Amino acid sequence: CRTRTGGMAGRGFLSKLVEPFYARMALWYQAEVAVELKKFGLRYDDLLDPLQNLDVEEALKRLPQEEVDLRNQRIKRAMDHSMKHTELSAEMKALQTPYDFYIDPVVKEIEAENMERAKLGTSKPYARTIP
Amino acid sequence: NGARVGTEATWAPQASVGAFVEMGSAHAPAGKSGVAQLVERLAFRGTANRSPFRLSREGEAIGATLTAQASREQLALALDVPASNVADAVEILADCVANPRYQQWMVDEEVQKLQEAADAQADNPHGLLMEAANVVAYQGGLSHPLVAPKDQAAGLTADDCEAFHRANCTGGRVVLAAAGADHQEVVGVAAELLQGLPEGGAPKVPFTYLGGDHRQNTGGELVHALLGYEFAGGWRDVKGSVVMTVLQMLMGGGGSFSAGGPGKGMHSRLYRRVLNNCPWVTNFTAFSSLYNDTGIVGIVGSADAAKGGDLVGLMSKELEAVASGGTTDEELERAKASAVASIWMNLESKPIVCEDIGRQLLTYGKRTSGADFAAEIAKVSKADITKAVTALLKSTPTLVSCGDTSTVPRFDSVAKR
Repeated sequence: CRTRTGGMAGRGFLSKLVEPFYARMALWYQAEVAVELKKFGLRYDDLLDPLQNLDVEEALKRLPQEEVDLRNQRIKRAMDHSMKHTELSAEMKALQTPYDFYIDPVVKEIEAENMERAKLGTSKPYARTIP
Repeated sequence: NGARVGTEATWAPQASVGAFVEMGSAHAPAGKSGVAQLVERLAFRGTANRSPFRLSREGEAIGATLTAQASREQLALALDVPASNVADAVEILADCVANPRYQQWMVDEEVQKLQEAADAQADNPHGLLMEAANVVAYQGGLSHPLVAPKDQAAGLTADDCEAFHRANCTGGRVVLAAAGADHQEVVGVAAELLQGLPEGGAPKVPFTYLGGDHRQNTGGELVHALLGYEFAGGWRDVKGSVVMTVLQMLMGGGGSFSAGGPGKGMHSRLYRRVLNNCPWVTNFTAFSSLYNDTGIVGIVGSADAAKGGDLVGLMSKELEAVASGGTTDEELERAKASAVASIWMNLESKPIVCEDIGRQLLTYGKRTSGADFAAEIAKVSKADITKAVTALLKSTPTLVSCGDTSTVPRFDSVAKR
């Protein structure tokens, strides 16, 4: 699995000392999260909630329809397993790709666009805010 | 790499900068000619270096009006700016031409609008007729529809746009034109930016003129018909296209509900001979649709639904009247004066001067001034007009109709005339 964040590593002398420890712990943690995601057959990016973050909602509008459909099917499958307290079969688990970040690049692009607008004091094209 | 820069200096505070590329629906792959429209609509919506927001804000900051127009053989992007901002305008324009960015979600949005435009064509009968005339009459690049039909538009992707741009936007096919700017300044900014374009000139787009018949019964109370013939030679036949321009002014015509007035063409042949005498004719206009090497010239009109046969008959009669020398000297002088006036009045406007530079450099490789064209027009004689129309009538006609087409005559009866 890929590391996702630039993170805090390498900002000061103490940080540099702790870096290798963080790197190993990060790998272990990602593996544990991957095991959990594979049980439900979800990708990490499926956990992004469009109701919580309007940028994710916009990103989902920009993705091709097949990606959005696949995401919805994965979520429905996970909800089904969750309700029945079951897991995916071993062959299915072997096929899972939990760290295929398909929404994250789009969200980053949208955040960059929002930053550009904010620098000039313009509002976003979608003005709805979460109350 | 063959890119060219042309400028004309004027003493006005407004300047107009344009990039003209020899790529249009004729150069698009056969089933995907809608990419030309897509490239036009996405021309100022983001490049590799600028987000759409930044592009629009930079345009606003320099006071620019951004326009893009795609046609069958050329694509024109233009910015009209105050003369002091020409360097910035050239930079933005070069970026948009050389590095456009096509994102799939933007393409999907525009495809939807293209489909609505295809639907809206039904409400514009003359537009529909002109489109159909090209599709029917030509075989080859020129027959690709400029207004993409709905099913074709649905299949267009960002990759298609990128492939079209990569294949066709080469150095030899790009002209940067500026009206109201200093040549050295424009070259200084543009040279480096256009260097990145690949080498390559414009290919010859093969075509054959076949003429033909097309009827689309869209119903309604009117019948709309177009009768056209081939003008072999197109813009590159300078003398011939000058004669066609004068012919256009001579025949004139328009809608029957015109309020008239000076310069409206109320004294042109089609107004005096047809619209003033036949109340059942709603519209009777001469048109000439010229491309680089060919063109369709003829008459398009509308009439009450029951009179389709008479409408097309009138069109043939009017064309034959000119071919058999029916033009009077007074009419010819009026048409020539009108054409010259139109040239001078149009050249007052900076955007039109810019477009003139760009399109002439693309088509001819050099620019002929308005004065030279006016001199050519003055030389047109009655014999030239008669010969030109006789040559037109020798080609196979193109007969396209829509509306209530039940009374439109058979194609062979029109072809025999």
